[in-house]
Order: sequence, then C-alpha cells, then structure tokens
Amino acid sequence: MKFSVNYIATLILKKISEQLTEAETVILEDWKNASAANQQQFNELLHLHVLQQELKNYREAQKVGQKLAVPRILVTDPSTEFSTHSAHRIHFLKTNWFKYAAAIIIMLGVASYLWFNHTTSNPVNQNNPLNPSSDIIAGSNRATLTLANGQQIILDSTQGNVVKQGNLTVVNLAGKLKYEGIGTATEYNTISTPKGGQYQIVLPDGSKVWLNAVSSIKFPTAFTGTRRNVEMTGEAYIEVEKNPKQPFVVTLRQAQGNGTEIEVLGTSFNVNAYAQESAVKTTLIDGSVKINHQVILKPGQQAEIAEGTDKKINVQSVNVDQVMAWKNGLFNFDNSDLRSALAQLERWYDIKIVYKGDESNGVTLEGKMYRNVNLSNVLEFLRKMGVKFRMDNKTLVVL
Amino acid sequence: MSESNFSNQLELYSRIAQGDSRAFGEVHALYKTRLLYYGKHFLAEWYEVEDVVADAFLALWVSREQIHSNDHLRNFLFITVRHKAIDRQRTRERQGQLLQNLELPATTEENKLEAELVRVEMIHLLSEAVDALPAKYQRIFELAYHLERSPAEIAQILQMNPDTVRSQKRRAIEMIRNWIKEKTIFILLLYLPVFTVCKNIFHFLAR
Repeated sequence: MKFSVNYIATLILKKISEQLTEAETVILEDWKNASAANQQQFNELLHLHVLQQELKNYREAQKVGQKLAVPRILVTDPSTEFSTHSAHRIHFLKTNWFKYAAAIIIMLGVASYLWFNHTTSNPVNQNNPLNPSSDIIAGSNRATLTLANGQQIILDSTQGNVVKQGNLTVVNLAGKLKYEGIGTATEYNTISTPKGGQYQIVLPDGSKVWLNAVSSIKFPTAFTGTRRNVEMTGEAYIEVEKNPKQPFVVTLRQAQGNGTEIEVLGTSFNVNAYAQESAVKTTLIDGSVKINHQVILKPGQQAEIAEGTDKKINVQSVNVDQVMAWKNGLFNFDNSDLRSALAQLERWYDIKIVYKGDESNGVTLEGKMYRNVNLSNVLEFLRKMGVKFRMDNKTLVVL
Repeated sequence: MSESNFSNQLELYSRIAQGDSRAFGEVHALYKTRLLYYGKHFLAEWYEVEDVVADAFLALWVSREQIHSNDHLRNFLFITVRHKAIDRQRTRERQGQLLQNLELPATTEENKLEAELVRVEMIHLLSEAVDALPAKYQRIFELAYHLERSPAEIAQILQMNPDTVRSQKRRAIEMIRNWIKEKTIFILLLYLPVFTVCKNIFHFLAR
C-alpha cells in the first residue's frame, strides 16, 4: 500500500520525537526500504543538525517568499491580448488586481527586453497616442564601477569576471555585481547608477545592496576594523549580513542627508536620500537600525530627517510595500504627491520635468504599475489621473 | 497551510484547471515557501530560486487543464522547479562560471522526487509546529535551535533564570511533540488514499 508523502513526513517527525507506534514503525520501515533515495533521506533527517539547518533554510525561504508577488497571469488568451490590445498594457494593480486581464510580469520583461534591443529597427507601440515614433523605454541594469585607482568599468547585463586582485574576484552576473573572496588591501570601490539605471551588488561581507537610479555606494574591498563603513547617495535597499561584532554603518553623503549615520546589526532597510526629495527617509523592513545614535526603528517604521540644520528625526509607520515598490520592479503611486512621482519618472526614464502653471496642483495619485513599461504607458496613466502635461522631446512639461 | 484551508484545498486543482485566477493566487500562497526552500537545494542564489519558482507557477497556469488532482498539482510544481533549477545549473556549468561554491545535490535522478517531497513536507510541518508555539516558547526554541544558544546565553538574552529557560525549552519540545501527534491523526484521515478508505468501509459493512 502506498502512503502519501505527507503521511510519511509526519511519521518521520513522530520517529524523531519518539512517539512512533509499532504499526507506524512497520509502515515507515517499508517506505524506507522501498528505494535507496528514501533510505538516504530518512537517515539524513534523523540528525538534529540536519533538521536545524533545514529549518533555518526554510525560515529563509519564508522571508524570501513574503516579498514574492504572485506571477501575473492572463485570464484571456495570451497571444491575442498581447498583439491586438497593446494599448491596454497599462496595469493598475489595485487590491483585487486579478480582475485586470493583463500580461505576466515576465512577459513584460521579455517584451521590454525585446523592444530595448529592437527599437532602432522596429518602431514599437504604433497605437501609442502620445508619441508614436519615439517612445522612451524604461531604465535597465546599468552602472559604473570606479576602482580605487580611478579606473572606471561600465557594468551592464553582460556576464563574466570584472576584476581579479589576489583572492578577490568581482563577478558581473546580469545586473548583479558580486564580490567574492577577500581583498588583500582595503581599497575603496564605488558603484554608481546613472539616470535610468539600477544595479544589485553583493558586498565582500555578503550584504546585499539594490541601487535605484541616480544612486551610489562606496565601500572597501575588505571590511576591517570595528565597523563596516559604507557611504551612499540616492536610494538603496540593503540587506545586511549579520555580524554583531562588526556593525554595519551607512553614512549619507548628499545635501540634506549629509552626515546622517545609520547603524545596523543585521537587517534589511531602505534609504531614500535623493537631493530633490525634501527629507532623508530610512525605512526598516526587518531587524533594527539606529539613526544618528539617537533613534532606533522598529520594522515598518520610517525615520524622516527633514531639510534644515537641526536634523530633527520624525518616526512614523509607513506602507512598506510602497517603499519597496522600486526594488520589486514597480511604481507605487498610491497617495503620493505629483512631484515625488514625477521625480521618480525623471530618474528612471532619464527625462527632464519642468513645472509651468498650476493646473495639476493638488492631484493625488492612485495606482501601481510595472517599472519596465515604456514611458508612454505611464503618461497615459497620469493623464487619466487628471495630470495636465505635454511632452517636449525628452522634457515633460507639467501645465 | 492552516486547517481552515483544507476544505478549499480539496478542490483547488479543479478550480485551477478551470482557469480560476483566484485559485492560482491561493496555490501560490500555499506552495511558494516550500518551493523556494526546495529550489534552494539546487541553486546558490535566492534571486535565481525566485525566478525558477515564478517560472514553475507560470508553467502550471499554462498546463492547468491537464492537472487532475491536488497531488498532481503539487508534484507538477516541484518537478518543474527541479527541472528548471537543474537546467540553470547546467547552463552555468557550460559557461564555466561560479561553480566553486555550487555543489550538486547528491540526488539528481528523477525518481528521487518522492523522497525529496517527504523532506519538504516534513520541514514545512516542523516549522508549523514551531509557529504554533506560544510566543515566549517560540523565542526560546528559535534561540536554542536556530541560533544555537546555550540555556545560559538564552537566560542572559531574555533576562531569565537559566533553570526557567531549561524548563521552558523542555515544555516547548513537549508542545511540539503533542502538536505532531495530533497532526498525524489529522493527516492520516485527510491523505489516506480514498480507495483504501472505501475498501475499509466496505469491509466493515460486509462483516
């Protein structure tokens, strides 16, 4: 008789907790003897350290899973939806966004990748009402790596080893730069993204950094000393590798954020310190961080340091999904004011925004969409939200 | 997966087969953690695992009409994750990159799936058992087994008496044991192949 996987799993758990009945012992023995694979799995699972490790892995998977969105699926036939209704490619993922028949995020990714590669030869978006011939495509994985000696390396979606210094190898993996091994000397590297660029970096200590557009991070090729010091500008999401003996400290180097210090023990958080924004915002996703030696944040809280010299820190609870939207490939404009939404577009589509007139004042936006769509799709959305504007080459004039 | 989901879960595959997008969301919520955990055995990086898992869900949606049971649905997802993960490994090998810290799992042949599923389900259940503990016991359990702290260290962290830590740790283990015991009965009833149950009832009636 064949028992279900779930039942066998519980029997092994009972075996470990020493409460297997005789009948169950027989069933489990049968299962174990049915194949070499079963035997091996069974023997491994009886070790406490295996269980411990696996449970740890499972917890990690849970954490990763929390941030994982449901892949977008088409309710109608994919091929017709895509070819005949390209004007419908705007996606507002409101609360019950399932009802919007829309393309899969991966399809969009592929589509924009294809467009990206074929724009010159193939005018896409023929039914785009705004700018038929020269739509502006979304940003992509692009950055510049500046080494200690000033040498600059352009990073993009190509793969391979970028730098090799002694035991240190810097590997570029399609939009992600990874430091492996330990550098011999403490040299400072800087990675900066241009307008319309983003990049992911795995630092020498294993901490992960996602850089949004127009941002930079400076760090040593080996973390020595009592603190792991990095400097950044712009916006980044950082997952710090735990090391209580060597706290991770982020120092902001830009306009109003100047000198702000974020001290971390092991955590993930988002920092938004763009010069155009009125305040430096640090949002804690998980763990704990300390700002300027004063304020300790709890997960879900955001510390805001406003412009001005007094560096007063305001703490409030925020919508973490919205803060993390960019990292998850989305724009989230829910309740955001027009200026900060347009500032995002400015950085991501490498355009200029000019404000003329006040017709669009007081417009509050609502809705989310993928970041990898062409600009015209976003503009169509803004127009529906009541924003008045015109597009002048690469300048968006808000009326 | 809480008990209240079980009634839905029974018909989940047929809702998927009919193209119910809400059921797709439910399947995603139900299996994403287990699939991520499973996929991580094959791939070194979480972002790769995330890709592979997303692909598996999309593949499920594409082939939804062929799904004929809840078990089939689950197996489909796990098999797809395994195939796609191994594909990725192979591509990487061909490109000769980053192989040093990527060990192939000892079991790669196709018929290992069942044994692997047992592991996944078992760890999943164990994590549920820990999650079911009251908060203070959960904290002690995680410190003791997850972070491998000694009772003395835990006592210091939680500012408790080391003896209290020891007794609460024992209590936590006891609670997990009880949880497992109750769960076994439940799972036996739920997952016993239907034909056996029918046969047993038949025999009982025929007596």
